[in-house]
Formats: sequence, structure tokens, C-alpha cells
Amino acid sequence: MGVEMVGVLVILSVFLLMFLRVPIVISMAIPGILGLLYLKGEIPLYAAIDSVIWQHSYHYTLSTIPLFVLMGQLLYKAGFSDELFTAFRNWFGRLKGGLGIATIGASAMFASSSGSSLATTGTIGVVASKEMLKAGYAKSLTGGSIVAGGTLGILIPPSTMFIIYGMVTEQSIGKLLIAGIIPGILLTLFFMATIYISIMFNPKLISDVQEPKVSWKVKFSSLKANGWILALFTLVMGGIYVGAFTATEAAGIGALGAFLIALIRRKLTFANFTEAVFNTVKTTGFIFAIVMGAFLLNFVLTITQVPNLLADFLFAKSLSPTIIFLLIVIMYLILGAIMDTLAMIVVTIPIILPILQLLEFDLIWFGVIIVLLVEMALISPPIGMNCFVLKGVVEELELSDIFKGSFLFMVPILTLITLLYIFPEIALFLPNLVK
Amino acid sequence: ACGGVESNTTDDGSKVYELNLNVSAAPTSPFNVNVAEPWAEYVEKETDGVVKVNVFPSAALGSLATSFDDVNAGVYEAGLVPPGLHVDTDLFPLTIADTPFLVNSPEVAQKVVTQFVDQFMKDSFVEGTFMGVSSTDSYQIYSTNPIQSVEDLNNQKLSDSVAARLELFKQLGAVPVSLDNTALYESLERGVVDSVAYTAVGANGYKLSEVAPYMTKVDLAVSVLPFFINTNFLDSLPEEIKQQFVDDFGPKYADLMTELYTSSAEEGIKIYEEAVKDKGGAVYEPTAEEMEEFKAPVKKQMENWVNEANKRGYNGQEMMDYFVELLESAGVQVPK
Amino acid sequence: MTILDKIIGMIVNVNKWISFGILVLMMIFVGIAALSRGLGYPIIGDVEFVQFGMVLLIVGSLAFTEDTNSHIAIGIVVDKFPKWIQTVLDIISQMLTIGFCFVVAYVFFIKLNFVHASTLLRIPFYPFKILLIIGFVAWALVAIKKLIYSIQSLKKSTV
Ligand code: NA
Ligand code: NA
Repeated sequence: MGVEMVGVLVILSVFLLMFLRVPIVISMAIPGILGLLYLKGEIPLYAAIDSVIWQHSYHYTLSTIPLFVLMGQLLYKAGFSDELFTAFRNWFGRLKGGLGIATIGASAMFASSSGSSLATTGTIGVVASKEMLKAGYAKSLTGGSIVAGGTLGILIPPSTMFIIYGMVTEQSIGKLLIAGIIPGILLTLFFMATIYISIMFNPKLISDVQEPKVSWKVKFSSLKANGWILALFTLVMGGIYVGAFTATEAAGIGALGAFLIALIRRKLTFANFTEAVFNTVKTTGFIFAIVMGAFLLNFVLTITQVPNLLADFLFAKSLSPTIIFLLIVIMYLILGAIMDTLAMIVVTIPIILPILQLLEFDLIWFGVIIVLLVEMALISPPIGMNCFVLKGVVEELELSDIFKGSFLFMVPILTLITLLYIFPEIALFLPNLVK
Repeated sequence: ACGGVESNTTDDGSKVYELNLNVSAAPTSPFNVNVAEPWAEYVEKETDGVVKVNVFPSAALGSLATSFDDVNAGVYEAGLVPPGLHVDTDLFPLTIADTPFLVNSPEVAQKVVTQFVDQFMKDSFVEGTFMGVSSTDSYQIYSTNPIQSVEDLNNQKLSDSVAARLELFKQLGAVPVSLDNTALYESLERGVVDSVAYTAVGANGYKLSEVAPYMTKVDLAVSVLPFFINTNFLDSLPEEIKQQFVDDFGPKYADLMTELYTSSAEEGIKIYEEAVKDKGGAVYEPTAEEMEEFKAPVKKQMENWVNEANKRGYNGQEMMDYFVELLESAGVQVPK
Repeated sequence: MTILDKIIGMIVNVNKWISFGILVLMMIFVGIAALSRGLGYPIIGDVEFVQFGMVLLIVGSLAFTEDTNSHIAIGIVVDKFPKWIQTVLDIISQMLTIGFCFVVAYVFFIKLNFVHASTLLRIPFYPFKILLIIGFVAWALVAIKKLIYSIQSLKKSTV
């Protein structure tokens, strides 16, 4: 059997196992291990396992992940998600599709304290779905708004995706996080506009029930939760921006800050606190397991020359950078439909990294593109993790409704990708300003 | 390959041996373009295609930190193994070259370390075979404030990745920090460190001039880069080709590195100087007296190395004496 | 069975509280280290402390993550299958998980060496590698527990 054939078999087994409900880490690790054993033998296999697992445990930069996750968890336990939604509802509720817009706003705000899209979807989802369904919003629009809003979790910093991407490409995590700010704000506005416009075309998506009027006093006093989060966000991202601390330090300060805020607001019981920490430990557990599995798989894919074949193919045709970029986007749309996103990043970025370097694409800019593609992946069927999470927390929403609603929100994401390709400054303006 | 992978053949039907070469530099880097790729072509040409070299840039097959283990185990067949990252292995004797201010150019490294290995380490390597050695260009100090004398180093947070040099900085009054190379830029920018020790070529690669406007040209030391090939792989080759590797291909890899780093060292410093000029930065070359101060702890460091070597069961003094002899015959002035 | 349950439950518990302590310590340490550096007193070896902390955090998280079914799996296809097929597939999953954990534990065991240490603080790696072995074995134990349950439920449904 030829080496390339082994590579193809390994990839096929990964997908087979994944669809048989084998945990992602195991689906990648087992074919990776068997492939390595077959191609290289026992001794090299052991060396590879030893170095992959040790190097990704004994890792400074990756400590940013649990710390940022903890920050979001603590704020969630401090009871912010309800308040965020209420605030946006008070301000935007009376607009057409106002509750959808409030969902996006609350998601964006929560995203600026949480590194994870799944966490953002889960937390905002519970309160937003209840209110939207009660107000007579269509199930598709309700589900779509929540899962789309949830994707902002990884674009607006902090973001586990940027951290993983930065680790794999050896780019500055700080710059990547900052690069997400403007695209994050833009995408928030695009999502809001999408809701507004879709209701103009199809008024049946919402009921005629008018939201009650809210006094200015109530409006302003409901902003308190937003104020706390913005203050912490400014401290953490501002600190990175002016060069006061590194991404890892910022994560530690963010978690510590969230802890203090929860204390000050008297929302932090010992039970709450342990739950926040244990949730973080679980998240850390599955993230690192997937990272290790993916790197084991990478070893096999690398030595089977799959990456070189891909690069040779792209360059042999002497395609223009734009066409190659387009092919990369299409590849991620396909992979994103059927793969776990974290695994997708760790496995594919090393493969396309040489191509990106040869094309001299800016890797910070490309990081933003990748995160947007991951956002699409999170809401596209059949494997759309955000949709699964929402289904998990809200029984009455059917997966088919959620996926139907989420399709609409791919338009603004694709629009933003196009804009970023034409105007890279959208992503690079802020990070280039840094000192 | 042990696993019964069907091997390809050349046009005239002889078996093709595939050699995977791990390179930590990026595909577009001078190292890849001027060393790895030309070497791969050279080997393929000289063996009439019997050996096929696959170059894996960007450390795709594994980080330098585990390279010794990886080559020995055959995770890949060939790669560089910096002794500074393998202090606790059989490579320990080669850390003698990390002692500051002794080895100051790739040329000296290639000459001196090759002879040192011949003398003391011939039988040390079993699973991996030592094929040749060169080094990076010299390490200089890049800082956010001008450093002209040892006093300027006082309480400065200074980063390096090699234990011996960290020790030197400690003795010179600085606060040593150990950082990953990829964190250098950000750490200077954020004030995690005030200065870093690195090669001029590397500093330009990471654009350190943007965040550290001062360079002090102290020629601290080079990073020695021994080139290893997996022994099983060599033994699997036809005798004639194996001999070609030992006599020609191994030294060739070292020659290409020496060529690259020698020509780019001076150029690298010039590029840095150009880059920092507009921002009021400068490259400073310390006077002879100032250099004496920087070098003051060297004698002590040589003793430390000897003690450490003795502790690990080597004859440290004998190694150091011979090393000094080699250095002096290569024209290096060794501090007395 | 109940004894096995209890023992494994205890191991998971110990692991998760180790992670708990380490994560809280890391939060405080990173925050303080950043402040201290800002004030001009960098903590020597802070990076290595965090690196070792990460190893401990991961060690503690693996079994706990398995125990709470938090390792991500994709159920969209299998969820629609008849119960007994699902259980058969679960058994396969669990056996693969156990196999993976033992391979990793075995590799760390045979490659264990007592010399390697960190660059700056010269803290030896081996105690942490031993803990990694324990972490992966604990993960395997939880999977074994689940495997036993799966086999039992399969027996019941076919009887
Ligand atoms: Na976020
Ligand atoms: Na998807």
C-alpha cells in the first residue's frame, strides 16, 4: 500500500469513527496511532506520542484558554446573562424584530467576556429563547438568532479559537485577539441588520404583539451589567492593547477581575464558584484532549505528504492568489459542515500554512478569516455545534428549525469575509496600531 | 520504513529510499531556500534519485526541543539537534560550546566542534548518527534601552534560551528570563523583558528592530547546530550510498549552513542598524575595556561547566582543555 | 461493582479537586506575577510555574471530563439508531478510549527518564510525567466503568 493511500485511509477512518459517536479525540487519535505504527513502526510511534502529549501539556501560551474560560464562567455565575438580555430588550425591544436584535446584542456583550461560542450560545440561549418564543417569534428566527449570536463568542475577544490558531501558526495571540474587535462589532451589526431585513421580507417571522414602552430611567439603570462587562473588557483588552500585559497575563487578570466582580455583586456563593471552576475544568479537559488527538493525527497526515500533494496541486495550476483563497474558503465550508471546529483548525492549519506563507498572506488577517469560517461551521448542518448546544438547553426548538434559521446568518458572515478580502485593514487596523 | 510500506523504484528499477528532513524554519526562510532545499536536490542528484529527500519546513514533524529523541526513534530521518535544548541527554558534552564568548562564528563552530566530537563522542551516538555541525551567527543583545556596559545590564530583564548564557546574565547583574523564540517580539513590546539575546539573522526575521531599537554587538556565542541522521536509516542504505552520506552529504549540510550564516551575519547587523536608525536607535560596539567586563565571568563559567560535566561522569577538565586548545588553534582568544 | 464504582468515584473526585486547586492557584499566580512584573519585580521562572500548572490541570481534567460525558462526540447519526445498536457502538467507543489511554500511559511509562528538567528552575519533569500516567489511567478507569454498565445494559435488553 502506498503512503498516500495510508493517508486517505486514515482520514476516512477518522470520519467513520466520528459519525459512530466515538469521542472526537479518540476518532482522531486511534487512526493516527495505527497509521504511524504502520508507516514508521513502534519506536517512532512512542516518540511521537511522548512529544505530542508532553509538549501540549507543558505549554505556557495554552494556559490562556482555561483562564479565559474561567472568566466567562464566573461572569455567567454572577448572573449576567439575564441582565444583558433585559438591557438590550429595554433599548431595542420596540424595533421590528427587536427581541432578535436584543439577542444578538446580549450575545456580543457576553462574547466580550467569554472565549467560547458554545458557552455564549448556551448561556444567552436559555433566556433569549424563552422570551422570543413567548413573544411569538418563529422558531427558525429564534434559533437562528441565538446560534448566530453565539458564534460571536470566538470572534469578539477573548477567544479560544484565536489562541489555538495563534499557537499553531506562532502568531502573537495579543494581536489576534485585538484583530477580532472591529470585525466582531461589524458582524454584530450585520446580524442585527439581517434580522431586521428578513422581517421586512417576511413579516410572519414575528407576531404583532408590541413590546411595552420602557421609561428612560429603567433603560439606563438596566445598563449596569453591561457596564461591568465593558469595564472588565477594557481592562483586559486595553491592557493587551497598550502593552501593559501579555495575553496570558491578561487572561489571569480577567479571571481574577471576574471573580472580584462576582464577589462585589454578592452573587458568588461557594457552590457557584466551584461550579464555575469545574465547568472550566471540563472545558479544559475536552479542549486539550482534542488538541492532543489532532496533533497525533497531524503527524500521520504530514508524513503521508497529504499537505505537499495539496500545495503541489494548487501551485501546479499556477492559480492566482484570489482563486487559491477562494478554494481555501470552499474547503473550509465543506469541512466545517462535517467536522468539529477545534479539530478542524488544529488538523488543517499546519497543512495550509506553507501555502499561506508562500502566498505571503498576513497570518493575523487570515486568523480572522479562519475564525469567521469556523463561525459558519458552528451553524451549518449536519455538524453544527452551536445548534446542538441550543437544542441541548432548549427542548422545544427542533434541530431542523434551528438549522433552517441559521442558514440566513451565513450571508452576513460571507459578506464580512468578502469585505475582509477586499479591505484587510478591517482586521489589521487595530493590531497594526499597537505601539 | 518498518511497516511494510510498498516502496517506489527509480526509472532503472532500483529501490528508492525516502528521507524525511525536519526543518524548523518557514518555507520561505533563507535556511529553507539556501540550505534544506539545495541539500535535498544535491542528495537526489548525487544518488541518481535512489534517495528521495522530503523537506518538512515549519517544524512540521516536531519541535527542535524533542529533535534528538525524534531522530533517534526515527520519527523522521534527519534534522538539527541543538545541544542547548538537550542538556540532559548524551549531547551534554556539546554544551561546552554554549559557554559564552568562546565560539564566535559558524566557521569556528564547524571546525572545532567536529574535532571535539571525533575526540570524545565517537561512540556516544548509537540510534542517531552525527553527520556534521555548524552554527547560527553570533548572539547579540537587543534592548529597549541602550546597553553599553555591564552597569547598564543591572536589573534588566534579559531573555535567552540557553542555560549557560542565562547563568552569565545572572552573574552580570541582570534578571534572566527563559522565553520561547516566538514570544520574543511580544515580550519586548510588552515589557515582559527589557532585552533579549539572539542572532542578527533571527532578530531580523522576528522584526525585533520594531520593538528594541538598540543592539549591543557583544558576540556572546553561537548556537551550535549538529546535524543527525537516524542510524537505522543509514544502515538500510546500500553501502556505497551510506559512504556518500558520511563523506559528502553530512559535511555538505554543515557547509551550506556555515555559508549561509557567515554571509548573512554582517548583513544582518547592517539591516538592523538601518531599521532602527530613524527611531533614534543604534548598534553599539563596546570598547575593549567594556568587553573585558562582559567577559569577566567567563573563567568562572568554564569552571562551572567542568564541574557539571564531572558530576555527569565525564572528564570535564580534559574536555575543556582540549576544547580550549582547539579554539586557540582556530585563532580564538580564550579568556585566561 | 459498587466497590469499583466507589473507588473510581473517589479517584475522579481527587482528580477534579486537584484541577480545582491548580486552576484557582493559576488565576491568582498569573495575576500577581503580572502585577509584580509591572512594578519592576519579575518573578523568576513564572513561565515554568505556569507550564507545570498546566500539566497538573490537564492531568486532573481528563477523568473528570470523561466522567461527566464532556468529551465531545457527534451523535447526530447514531442517536436515531435502535437502542441496542447505540449500546454496541458505545461499547466500541469505550474500548477504543481505554486502548488509547493505556497506550499513552504505557508510552510515558517506558519513556520515563529521571534526568530531564526544566531550563531555568531545573525542576525535574518525571514527577509530572508520572502524574500524567496516573491521569490517563484514571481516564481509562472511568471508561472501564462505563463499559461495564454498557455490557450489563446490553445483556438486559437482549434477555
Ligand atoms: Na469572546
Ligand atoms: Na457545521
